[in-house]
Amino acid sequence: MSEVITLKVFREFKLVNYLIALISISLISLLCLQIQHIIGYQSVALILLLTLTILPLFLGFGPVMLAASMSALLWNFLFIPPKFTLYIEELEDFLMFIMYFIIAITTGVLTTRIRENENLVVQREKKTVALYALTKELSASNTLESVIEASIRHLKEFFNSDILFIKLDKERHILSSIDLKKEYLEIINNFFEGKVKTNRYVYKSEKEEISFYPIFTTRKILGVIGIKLKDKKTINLEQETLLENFIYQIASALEREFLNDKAKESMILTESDRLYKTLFNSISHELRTPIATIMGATSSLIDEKTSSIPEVRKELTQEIYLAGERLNRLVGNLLDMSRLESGKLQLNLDWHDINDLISKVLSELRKKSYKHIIKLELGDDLPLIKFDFVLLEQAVFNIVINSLNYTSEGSIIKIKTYSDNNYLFIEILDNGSGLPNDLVDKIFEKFYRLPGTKTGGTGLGLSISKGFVEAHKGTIKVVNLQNQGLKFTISLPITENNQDISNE
Amino acid sequence: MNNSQQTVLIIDDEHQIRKILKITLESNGYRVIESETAQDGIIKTAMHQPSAILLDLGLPDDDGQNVLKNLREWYKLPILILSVKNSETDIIKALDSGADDYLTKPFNMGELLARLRNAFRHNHQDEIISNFSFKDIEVDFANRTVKKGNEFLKFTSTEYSLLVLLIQNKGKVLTHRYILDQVWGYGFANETQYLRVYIAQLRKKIEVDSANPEIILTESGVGYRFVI
Repeated sequence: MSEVITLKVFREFKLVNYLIALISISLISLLCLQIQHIIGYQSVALILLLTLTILPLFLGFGPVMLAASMSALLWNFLFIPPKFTLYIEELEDFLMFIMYFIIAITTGVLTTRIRENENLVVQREKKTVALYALTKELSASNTLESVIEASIRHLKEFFNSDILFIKLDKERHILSSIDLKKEYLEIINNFFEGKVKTNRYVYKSEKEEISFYPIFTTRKILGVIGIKLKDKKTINLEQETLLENFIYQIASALEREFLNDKAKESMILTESDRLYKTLFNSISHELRTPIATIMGATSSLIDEKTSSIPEVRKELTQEIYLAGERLNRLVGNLLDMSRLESGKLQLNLDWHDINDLISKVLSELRKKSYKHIIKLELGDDLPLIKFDFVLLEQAVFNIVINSLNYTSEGSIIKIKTYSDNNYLFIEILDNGSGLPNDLVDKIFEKFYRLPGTKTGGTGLGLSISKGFVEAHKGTIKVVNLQNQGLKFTISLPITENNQDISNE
Repeated sequence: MNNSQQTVLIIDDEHQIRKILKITLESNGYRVIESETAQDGIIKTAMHQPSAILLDLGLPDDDGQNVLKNLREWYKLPILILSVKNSETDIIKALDSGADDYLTKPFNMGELLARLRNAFRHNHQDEIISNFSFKDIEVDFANRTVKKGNEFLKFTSTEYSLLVLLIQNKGKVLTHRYILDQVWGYGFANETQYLRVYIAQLRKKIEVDSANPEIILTESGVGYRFVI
């Protein structure tokens, strides 16, 4: 771009160029005067012609023509005998002079044209490269924001300007390196409301000039771009065409992103539907089963004959209690899930001892875990960290009860706590059958239940654990152990706020 | 203490809850009065002077906390709070406002009866005890010593104060704030780190397995309870 400008500069200061033309021809001629006794006056013509092929590199058409004419005359005057006259004595000299003149002019014209074409090609290439760069980046952008950002950046760079971009849709996007003024907004609104239907509107004031271009797609106006060239310049025709190309590309990319977003929305709705159906079916089942137990057991107890037998009475009441527990846990899980989904989960943070948490979880599970072997490896002198005791208690509880439910009697469940400089870790390991490798990460998904497991359980527990742990900016992972079994690892950050005072 | 002379007032708007509580309490020798609203509850308290009150925090006409504050201005007998899970902040607030203990729905009747009995005991305590033993541990208040089996255990003064506070309030839940206030003093109400560390140390000294505490129990999100 700068070379084009340089040449234009030369072209605009015409007087200078003409002077340069005159001076260079004169200088060369003078030089030749000195050496003409060695080379002869015909060779001087060739030297002058050589100069004429070089001059168009720096000068425009006019000065080159002047140089050509001048050089012919100078050659005649200074070199062709009789010297220092324009009169030519010999016929062959006269013919040479005519030929020289024709060749000089032709050379000048041709070389100038070559030079200009070259410049045009360079310019065109620059435009193509810029357009290509824009198109490439736009096709690689996969969000609305990145399309807009890339567009603005390319426009700014290539046209050396400040850009104002306004997109109209659900969220009004305004990105601008130009101060917004009331007048601009009015123009923009006119575009949006269809009052102005042209492809361009130029706002001119004393201080500035901004060109506004609407971005249209097949259906409607997507936005408006305002371009203000730096140095208060006006957009010329050349730039205008290129700009239109740019804007066309931008419009296509924007449209593509809009359509993408719509497609995503509809996918989400479909997925949402699917989850709803799964949830509904799952919950119905989960609710019905314990209720059936309760009603069945109690209706038996109402019968005097059945309730008079102590063992039967005991067993039935135990079943009722267990069913109640199950319902209670289901309700708890549903409520926990709602809280997580609502995004309004409030953490009740306070300093806590992580080992205390583990002990509490185990004491809650005492009745359910007596058929398993529980091993504890609780770290000594672990730093206290701030967390919500009730939430993490639930998170760990859900993992442990999951391990208890999916491993057989007599299996071992090990719980470890330890820390490094940055994190506190809780590991829950079992020696059950583990999971197929490709399903390992899926177990944290809502409602996910391992294919083939017996019915019962909503698949919410682990996703709740994940939600609660992540609410503390922690992470939760699961891996298959080499010797069969699963290992859950919860890591909780020990932030700067957490001080280790276990040694105080 | 003759149970049949004790009246328990249940202030809860849920009919089913009142019913189930009534059945249990009556079969354990208590007389039961019921109330559905805060206002009625206060009136009945004044009228019948119950030996203890079971107060639901989720009443329809007023916040249970307000009822509690009102009652505590003139009613000095045991008040147990009934609440739901995940309302630890409310429970703490109620305990700090003078409630003796709490129960979360769904209730465990064994816990209910135990906490009620415990509350009565604390309320009527006027005997002076100079020592206290539990498991293989003997605490001598006069000499400020703690013995495990035949060995004297080394206790820092803070650890000792903490142990004594827990023993004096045995069976009853103590909020973190209350413990910090009593043992560490005014201004330490938010320094829960100290409490965690000292409880862990205490457990190491007096529990058989400090990873499975049976004496000093954690009440999740609320406080601690010394249980013998």
